[in-house]
Amino acid sequence: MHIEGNLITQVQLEEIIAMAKPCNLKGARLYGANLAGANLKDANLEGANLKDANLEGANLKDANLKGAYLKDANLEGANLKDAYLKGARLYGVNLCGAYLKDANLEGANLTGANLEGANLEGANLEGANLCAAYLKGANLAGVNLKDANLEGAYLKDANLEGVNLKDANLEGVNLKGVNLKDAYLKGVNLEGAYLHDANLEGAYLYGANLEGAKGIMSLSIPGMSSRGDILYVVRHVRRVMIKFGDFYGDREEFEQHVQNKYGTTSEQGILYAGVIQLLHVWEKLAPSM
Amino acid sequence: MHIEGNLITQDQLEEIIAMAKPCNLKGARLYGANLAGANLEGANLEGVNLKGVNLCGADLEGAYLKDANLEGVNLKDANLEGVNLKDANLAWVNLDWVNLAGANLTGANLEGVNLKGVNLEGAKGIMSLSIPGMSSRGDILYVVNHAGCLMVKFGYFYGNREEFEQHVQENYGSGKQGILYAAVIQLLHVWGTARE
Repeated sequence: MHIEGNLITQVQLEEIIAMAKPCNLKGARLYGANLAGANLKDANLEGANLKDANLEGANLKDANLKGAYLKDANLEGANLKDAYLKGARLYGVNLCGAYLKDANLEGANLTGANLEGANLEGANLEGANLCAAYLKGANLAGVNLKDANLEGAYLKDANLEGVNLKDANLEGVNLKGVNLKDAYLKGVNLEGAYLHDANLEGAYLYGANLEGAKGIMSLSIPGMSSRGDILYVVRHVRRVMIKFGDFYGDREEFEQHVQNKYGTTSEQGILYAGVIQLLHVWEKLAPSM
Repeated sequence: MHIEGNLITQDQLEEIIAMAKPCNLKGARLYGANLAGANLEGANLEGVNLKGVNLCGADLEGAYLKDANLEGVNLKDANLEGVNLKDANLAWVNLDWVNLAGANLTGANLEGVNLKGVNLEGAKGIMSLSIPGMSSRGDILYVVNHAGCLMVKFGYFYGNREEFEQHVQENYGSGKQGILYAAVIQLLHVWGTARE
């Protein structure tokens, strides 16, 4: 049976899937097809049209979905481990709870996609469009999001540990309580982003734009560090957490660290005292800032 | 070729830039020159009047621009990492998303400058404070050290520390924001009297 570019019936489709392992559905027109729970492991679905298709719980492990059209498809709970989705069009797709570990989504368009609770650990999303994507509680640990656009994305409770967000756009994004431990944030745009309770331990923020960002204070003061380190202060529920060079800790720990290093009477000690006073005022006076 | 004080043609200029690395354009008169995308890495442009010169996308990494006049120059996409801009005039310059990491901005005039997205990590002579609660628009406060006299740039405000204190007093008085500003002003005071 020649599939490419053909519109096939549900019965034919089920026959193909049952017969051929791995099945070749390259370029097939499968919009609206019901493939819920189907075993499509290693399937070739390159350039296939799967608009509105139901792939709930389907096994797409190692499948080739390069450039596939999956607008509004249902992939809830699907297994897409190691799947190849480069340049796939996934607008508004439902990937709730999907397993996307180590999947390749380079340059994919996930505008408005629902990725709640999805596991994307180690996936490649370089240059992907995730505008307005819903990523609540998603696991993005170690994901490559270099140059990705996450404007308007929802990331509450998401795990972004060790993520690469170099030059990514996170303008106005709500990162409340997000784990950004060891994240690579060089040149990231966090303009107007909300960073209350975010964990920045070990994060690399060189050249990050924090203009108008909320819940985070950044102080660049020549004389504080010979390496020109910037001091970041993130507001948490009952305290502030400070990131400065290799130091990460709360205000009391920072005061102790500074005292041990510079004392209180040296020129640097006096400069740090002014900084600590400012932190103290900010911490006490502006719980909503 | 002796450059200093000479008015040079575009052709001569291109020849100099192509030949000498790093090139020495100290004191040259470059009015109206087109240096867009030029490789001026480490160039000596001390005291040069660059007003009206096109420097879009130019590579000025590590260049020496002490006392240079860059008023109104468009530096979009230019590389200014580690550049020395001591006492340079940067009034009304477009520095949108420019990399000024490690640059020396001591005594530089930043009146009317757009510093959106500028990377000032490790820059000398300039302090930048981004503190939520200071400005509803999320403005960053920039302070340039002019031999102990501090010039403050904050949103539309540009003036010295005393003028800034006055401005804050008039706008915020002794409320919650006033207390935050008082701590900021105290920090400026400490920084202004400390050596870098």
